[in-house]
Amino acid sequence: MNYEYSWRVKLVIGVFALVGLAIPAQILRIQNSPEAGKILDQSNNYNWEVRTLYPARGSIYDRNGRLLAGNEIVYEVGVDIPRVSNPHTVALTLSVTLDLDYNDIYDTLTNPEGRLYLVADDFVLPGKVEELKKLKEELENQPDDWRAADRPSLDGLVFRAHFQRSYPEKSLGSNILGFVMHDGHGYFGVEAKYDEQLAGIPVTTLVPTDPNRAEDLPRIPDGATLILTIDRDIQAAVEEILDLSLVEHGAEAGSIVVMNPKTGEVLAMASTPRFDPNEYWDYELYFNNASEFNRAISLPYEPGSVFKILTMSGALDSGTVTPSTSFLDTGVFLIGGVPVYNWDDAAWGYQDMTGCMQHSLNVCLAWVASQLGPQKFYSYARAFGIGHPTGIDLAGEAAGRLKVPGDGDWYPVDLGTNSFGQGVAVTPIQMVMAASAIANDGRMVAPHVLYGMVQNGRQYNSPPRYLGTPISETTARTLNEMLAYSLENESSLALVPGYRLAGKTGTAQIPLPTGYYANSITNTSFIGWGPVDDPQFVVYVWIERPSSSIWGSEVAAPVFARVVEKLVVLMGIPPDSVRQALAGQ
Amino acid sequence: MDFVRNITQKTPWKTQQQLFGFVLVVLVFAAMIAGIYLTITSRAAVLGREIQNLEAQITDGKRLNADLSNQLGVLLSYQSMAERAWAMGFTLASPEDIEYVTIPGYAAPQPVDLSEARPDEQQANTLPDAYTQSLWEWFEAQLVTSGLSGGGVQ
Repeated sequence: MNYEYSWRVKLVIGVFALVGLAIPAQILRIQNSPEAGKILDQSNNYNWEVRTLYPARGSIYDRNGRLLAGNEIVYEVGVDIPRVSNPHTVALTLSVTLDLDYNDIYDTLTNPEGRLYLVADDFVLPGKVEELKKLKEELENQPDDWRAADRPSLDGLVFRAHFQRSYPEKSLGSNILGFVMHDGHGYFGVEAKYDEQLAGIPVTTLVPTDPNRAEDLPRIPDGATLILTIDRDIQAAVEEILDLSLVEHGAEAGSIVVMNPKTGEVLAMASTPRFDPNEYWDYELYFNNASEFNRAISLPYEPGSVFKILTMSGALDSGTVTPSTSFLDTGVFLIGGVPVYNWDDAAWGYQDMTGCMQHSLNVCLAWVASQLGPQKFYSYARAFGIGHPTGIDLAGEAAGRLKVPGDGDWYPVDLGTNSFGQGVAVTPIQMVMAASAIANDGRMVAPHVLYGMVQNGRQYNSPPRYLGTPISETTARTLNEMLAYSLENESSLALVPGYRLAGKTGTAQIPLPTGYYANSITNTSFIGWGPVDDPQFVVYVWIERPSSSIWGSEVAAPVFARVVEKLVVLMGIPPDSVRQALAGQ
Repeated sequence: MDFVRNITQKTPWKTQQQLFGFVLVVLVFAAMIAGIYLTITSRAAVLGREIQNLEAQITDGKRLNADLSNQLGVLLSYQSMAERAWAMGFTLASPEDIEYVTIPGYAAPQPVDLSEARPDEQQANTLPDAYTQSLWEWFEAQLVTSGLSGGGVQ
């Protein structure tokens, strides 16, 4: 190499060396500059996103594992505004497919005012979303024509899947289940009562967006799964019977409750009206107020003569009367200065206590209550749970009303009228609970609809809860016998061939806003249980304001019989003769 | 030693050659380290993205399972089953239609038991440490596991 060129070579080498050194030097300088920390902080902000993970709402099953409430996929349809290339196509497609307002969407997309994302619609069904996805794909696969500025495109349209509550059985058992609105909260029934357990606990966590920091998402346990005591087939049968009975008797509304008197497990609870909770927004079309959602627990009423079983229980248990105690019915009894008459205004002459129950004599029961005395009468009523909520695990239970001496609106005549179920307000579930003591050898059980709860794969079952013994075992058996005999002796329409049943009808006048009772409109009821020697069910029937007849014995009693005919089949209860023969083997 | 001194001092072209060779070795080594680092980082990024995708798939799968259970519920609903039964000619039994027979050892059906060990109960972290470690942490861990590290808890 010539000398004259060597310095030039060295200069070039030197320049390259300098540049080569300057680059790492600059890197080091930037990395250690005061701004570096701020830039790192900013980048860290984009490395993570705060995400709230919502557990799936727990499912609800009947006692045999049939799904009553589950979850189905729906979509939020949104628009990623910066990615939209043709606002007209997007707005037009959404307005046609999802029935949205074209102008609203178009205006937002063309003038977003800083917005990056638009929620066009939510809770969109998969069918609609598939339609949109297909259209989007077709437009994406159109041959490119870059010259066309208004090329149709659904770019920016995004679909986010999430759950919504679903009720596969539609209106079946809806008055027990309640419903979940789009806000994710449960209303009425089981959905409201166990809302926290079903919803689970949402967890807010930092999720790395940087794939280098990817890690497992925290495991969020789903909401608890509930297994109800309800038997879907019994529920369906009872609802069908109730609906047919209302039509047959021209009644306004009704309710039927079926419970196991030994465990307190509610097997069915039908109430009218019912609606499909999948379309909960129709609530106001069906219900005038919240107490109508489930009449069996929320709507207290004067039950009439079915209440006599409690009056007679107290009188027998206290020793005030025995089944053979004789009473001369003159057709009228004066109590608190007010005369009380029988349902037929007739005098029935000498009657024993079984006869009083069989013929449902108000005069006799008013006399029995007067012999029992107000203190004991109301003490027994309280012991049977009258005037207090039963504590059933359904939202919206009413307490009813039991006036007692000392209350401003209690008068001595109330003792007489209360004895046959007027002037006292109860719910069907209260009567069922009280009757469980009579059917279950004096032990009263708390009614409940939750059989078990499954959490983290383990099932926790609800044990029966006993609420004391308002009457003795002897009293319970005596009254059972009296009521069974009464039904058999009057050839009641409540009887079912092959099965010995105990029960009592009720016909109650309805108080008017004026304070007087209506003559021609009644509430008809029936409470009964069986088989008498080993009760498997208590059934309560309440038919409101029937027009075919005003009497419980003609309206509610046959409904009870129809329910029992279904129950013995669905529960596999053999006729008494078969059962007793098998037991004797 | 004299031989080495002679080579380095008396033959300048050899010195330059050695210097050039040394720089080249350093460069190659640095390039190798950078290459390995880039490879591992890119693999980690790809696997990280896969993990994120799998998490999304798990979520989608769970959602789909719940949806399918719900669809099954609709298919097995009372109304649906009753319609199919009627279409097949079945009718509802009345008490008179039923004949009871004694079956030794028969136990009446009990309410459903849904308790089970579900897969999502397994809380163990399924992501290997190697996916979240830096190169240095990984190297240190290898030393610890191979017993070459001086520290550590016995």
